[in-house]
Amino acid sequence: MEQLSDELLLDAYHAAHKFELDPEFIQLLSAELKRRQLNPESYRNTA
Amino acid sequence: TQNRMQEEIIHAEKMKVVSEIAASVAHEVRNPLTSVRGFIQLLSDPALSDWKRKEFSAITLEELDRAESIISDYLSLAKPQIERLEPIVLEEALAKASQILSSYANLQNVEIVTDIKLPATVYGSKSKFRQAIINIGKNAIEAMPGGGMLTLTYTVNEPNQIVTITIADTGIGMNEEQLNRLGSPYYTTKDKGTGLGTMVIFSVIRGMNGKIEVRSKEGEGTTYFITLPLTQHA
Repeated sequence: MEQLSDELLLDAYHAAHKFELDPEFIQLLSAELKRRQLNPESYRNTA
Repeated sequence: TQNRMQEEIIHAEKMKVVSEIAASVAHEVRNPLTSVRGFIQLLSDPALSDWKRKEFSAITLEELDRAESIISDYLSLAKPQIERLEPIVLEEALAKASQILSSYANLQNVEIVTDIKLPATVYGSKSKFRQAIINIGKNAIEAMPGGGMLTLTYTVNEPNQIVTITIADTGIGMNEEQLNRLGSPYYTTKDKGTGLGTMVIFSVIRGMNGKIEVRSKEGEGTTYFITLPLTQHA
């Protein structure tokens, strides 16, 4: 998870929300966002 | 005989440590597995671009490798090992021990810091030495219920041909009386302790012609100083 770029991490986080994946997975992603001091709201879709 | 009894105590203590660390290993393996599952689900999105698909696949493999290495470190601790007297490369032995302790430390919010600069080799049984270090580390982690720092380091004294390993925690510490009784069989301050783990540490280090000194201050922490004869480099 640490190896993922900031952009892809944000991407994964929003996709996980969108597809309503396992809350534990979402929790792990958001913990990593927090560790990097990233705000999930700062996300822009780059797909 | 006394020797046989000593061996049995060492074995029983090892199994106790193995079972106590098991819960933290299970916990640590859960995270990478949860990630793997999540990323595989993300991969099934047909709208996912090619480069993202590649990146997510790479992360999936990485997380699997992480789970695997946590398990194999743990198994190498649990596995019965033939006792052989051999040169022990100190930096490797300490790195291995801190790897095995890392999931336990994570669970208790303890940071492990290893500061190793010079190569050094000592002589003894690798598995017993590692067990002694793990016993000390595990006690140290348990002495920091609110989190803290476990430092593993050593200094080499070439003229005297000795190495001093220092294992320090920032935990609850011990008072004079506890410190004096440390290492006597069945003496424990823990609810679920056997009072044999520290005895095992002392007997393993003594068996390697080494010495142990423990300093502690209540509320500040405990430091182990282990002095061992240095083995000449081949």
